[in-house]
Amino acid sequence: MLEKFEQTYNQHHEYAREWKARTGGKVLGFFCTYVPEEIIYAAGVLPVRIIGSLEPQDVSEAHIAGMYCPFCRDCLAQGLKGKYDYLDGIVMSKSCMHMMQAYRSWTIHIPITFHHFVGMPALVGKASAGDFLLAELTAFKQALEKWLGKTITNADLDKGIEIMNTNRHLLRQIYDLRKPAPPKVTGTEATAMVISSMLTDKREHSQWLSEALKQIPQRQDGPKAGTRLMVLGSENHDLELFKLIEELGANVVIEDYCMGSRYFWNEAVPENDRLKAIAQRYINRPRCPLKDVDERKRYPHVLNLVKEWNAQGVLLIQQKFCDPHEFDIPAINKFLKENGVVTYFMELDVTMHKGSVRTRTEAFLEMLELEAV
Amino acid sequence: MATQTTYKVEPLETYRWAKEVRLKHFKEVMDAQAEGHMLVTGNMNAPKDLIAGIGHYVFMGGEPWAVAMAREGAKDLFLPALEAMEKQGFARDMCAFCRTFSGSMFLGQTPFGPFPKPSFVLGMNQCDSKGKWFQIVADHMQVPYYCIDFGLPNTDGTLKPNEASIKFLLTQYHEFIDWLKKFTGKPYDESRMVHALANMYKVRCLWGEVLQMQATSPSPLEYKLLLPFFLCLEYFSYKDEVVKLMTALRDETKYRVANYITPLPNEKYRVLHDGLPPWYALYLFHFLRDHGVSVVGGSNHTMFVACAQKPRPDGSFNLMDPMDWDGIPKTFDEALKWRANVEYISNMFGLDTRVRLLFAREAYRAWKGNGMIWINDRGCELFSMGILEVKAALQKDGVPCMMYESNRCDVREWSWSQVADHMDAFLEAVGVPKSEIKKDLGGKLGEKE
Repeated sequence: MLEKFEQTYNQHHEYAREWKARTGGKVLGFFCTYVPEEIIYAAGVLPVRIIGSLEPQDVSEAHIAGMYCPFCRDCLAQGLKGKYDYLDGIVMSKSCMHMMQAYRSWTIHIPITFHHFVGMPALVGKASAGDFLLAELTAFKQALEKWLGKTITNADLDKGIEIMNTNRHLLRQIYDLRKPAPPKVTGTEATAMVISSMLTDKREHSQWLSEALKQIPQRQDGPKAGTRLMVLGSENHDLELFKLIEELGANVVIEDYCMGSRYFWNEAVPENDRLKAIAQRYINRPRCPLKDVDERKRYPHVLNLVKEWNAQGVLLIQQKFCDPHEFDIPAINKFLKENGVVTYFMELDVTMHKGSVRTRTEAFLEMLELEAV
Repeated sequence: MATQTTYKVEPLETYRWAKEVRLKHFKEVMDAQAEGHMLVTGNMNAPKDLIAGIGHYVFMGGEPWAVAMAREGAKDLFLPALEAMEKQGFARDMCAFCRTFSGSMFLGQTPFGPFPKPSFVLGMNQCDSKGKWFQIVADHMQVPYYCIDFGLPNTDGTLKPNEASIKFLLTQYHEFIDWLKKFTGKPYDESRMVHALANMYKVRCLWGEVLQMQATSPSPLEYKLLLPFFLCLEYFSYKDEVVKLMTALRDETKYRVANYITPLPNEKYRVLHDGLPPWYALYLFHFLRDHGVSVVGGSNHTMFVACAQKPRPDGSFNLMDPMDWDGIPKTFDEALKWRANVEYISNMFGLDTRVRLLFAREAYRAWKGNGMIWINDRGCELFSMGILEVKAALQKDGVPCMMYESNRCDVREWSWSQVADHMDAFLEAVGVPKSEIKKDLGGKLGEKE
């Protein structure tokens, strides 16, 4: 059962094409996890996150400057190469400028029938941030209605919220299974579950998760106890990184990044105004550095994860040229060290140099062993 | 090939005044605390003018201080500041304005004396860097940080304002004023704020009129001469003195136009330079002058004009539309609303590729350009955003284009030989005969301006 998540991730284009053929529905690609998928599900459309191929490419260079992060260039490259030719449209929610550039270039060069930008505030602690986001979500809903030629009702929105919340709730249960020593699921498996949830119909994905939750307690092939690590930082969807770390005897027990816990951590709390409930969900979700500009709320959340999942060390990963994380890494590194947490920084590109990553991870694990002594 | 005409050249009298205003500002910052004035630091787009309501204050803008280091203190402070930032663990590809300014803060030094401690930090979160940059400053200085967010909305790619975005800004302005009153314990005099915003408005009208005169051939001014005025426009436009300065500039430019006075006696070609220049290598503009190329301005100059013109119903922009002198804000609400509109247009220019293209095309058309140059700034996502798409669109329009990669405020990323290679092909495309293209800078490398 657990292999299904990774298999689906590896064949996500085939999955989406097959879904489209099977249901006759439309598929919307989205950049970044601030896109309110609830509304897309409410519209009867399948949202799938646009990700890269983790392979070298040379087609984005004419559109995105070289100092933009390799992830955004990899994403655009997939569009330019026609890998996402099944998409009917794309949606971007304001996150970083890197992804915004990929979105803008996509709208210029790749034929689609719908594209929409959702303004997501950065200073989410502001009292008026929710009002602004609500106005943007209303505009997004209206744009979808116009595109699809149908009204999205409150009942539809309730359904969208329910689909998303169910999946989030189940993923939280999976993450709880990483608390024991040894954890019941590996970091690789858990990450494959999260990423595949972004790429599949969540109704189906939630069934797989429910099935997995029944099977996991009985499994005999679970991970062995090892050094417990947290992975913290910017975007990464290369499962090989987790496999490599775990092959060295470590357990990745928790992460805080947009391909992991940040994606699903909190649920939308139902209220009469459905769009308001959705807006509040995105306002209150765990922050990435870009949304942690006023009071630093990200730090206590991260420390809490370290404690609750009993991580012995934190691996700080950063996608090359990712400015938001570059601004935060020195400060969060200092914060964690001041709180007695051992950290190690690693910069990543879309293609991973395994030898280097292996050596550095080994060094980090040795550091942690020495700390334990 | 263009024919050779020799025009009259006279120094721009107000240029010296603008440099004096700039220098006076640096001194004001250094003396602020000793003279009992409140010192606030923050970025260019921070709504510093709103502070006027509580009385006299001094605003230390992060960007001009970084420029001052790139221009004045290269040997003693510029590189050490960049390195100080790296020693703190910050990456070298981050915003170089941030790295220079913050590095100077970590060293505790500026080109004019010890790094002063501000009373608070005021930020405008306009790109991935500005909000985070001043978070670092506030953390290190251990002073309060007040940051205002720009809600980038979904738009149709024109200048038509988005109501929700304007409302978000207005609400935050009100909240900031309330916070300011509490923080300083001082009453807020709305008329002072309105006066500051009216000054800002007048300065933009005057700037617009100057830029409109740049459409004249030969151009009365050029890029490098505009730099100190640009700084005054961006940072001190709320001051009475800047209104006087800009009025004088407008009048002197009129005189120059009437008398065919130009900085280049041999102007043959007119090009635009988009983005901020490599501040440590302004000889780039001398090199262009030597080829009869006048750099008339950049579309980042023109975006300051739109908010002081009557908005066009279709959301388009025409540099030559008359400045709307009747629109000077007279009430508190008018002033705040206009301020929000300024913020909106400025950010749309930076963040929406379609709006950037709108401004680039219009600047090129209005100024009757022969070519366009962009700096692909490795340290600035904001100014590099969309420029490859804008360049491609203009190339399709038949515009000779050139892009050089560098960093406006990190001299370690500058390579004249690489820029010169691009320049060679560009000048030829603009129309400079191949045989006249110089291969070297004629001793200008590293020349102090």
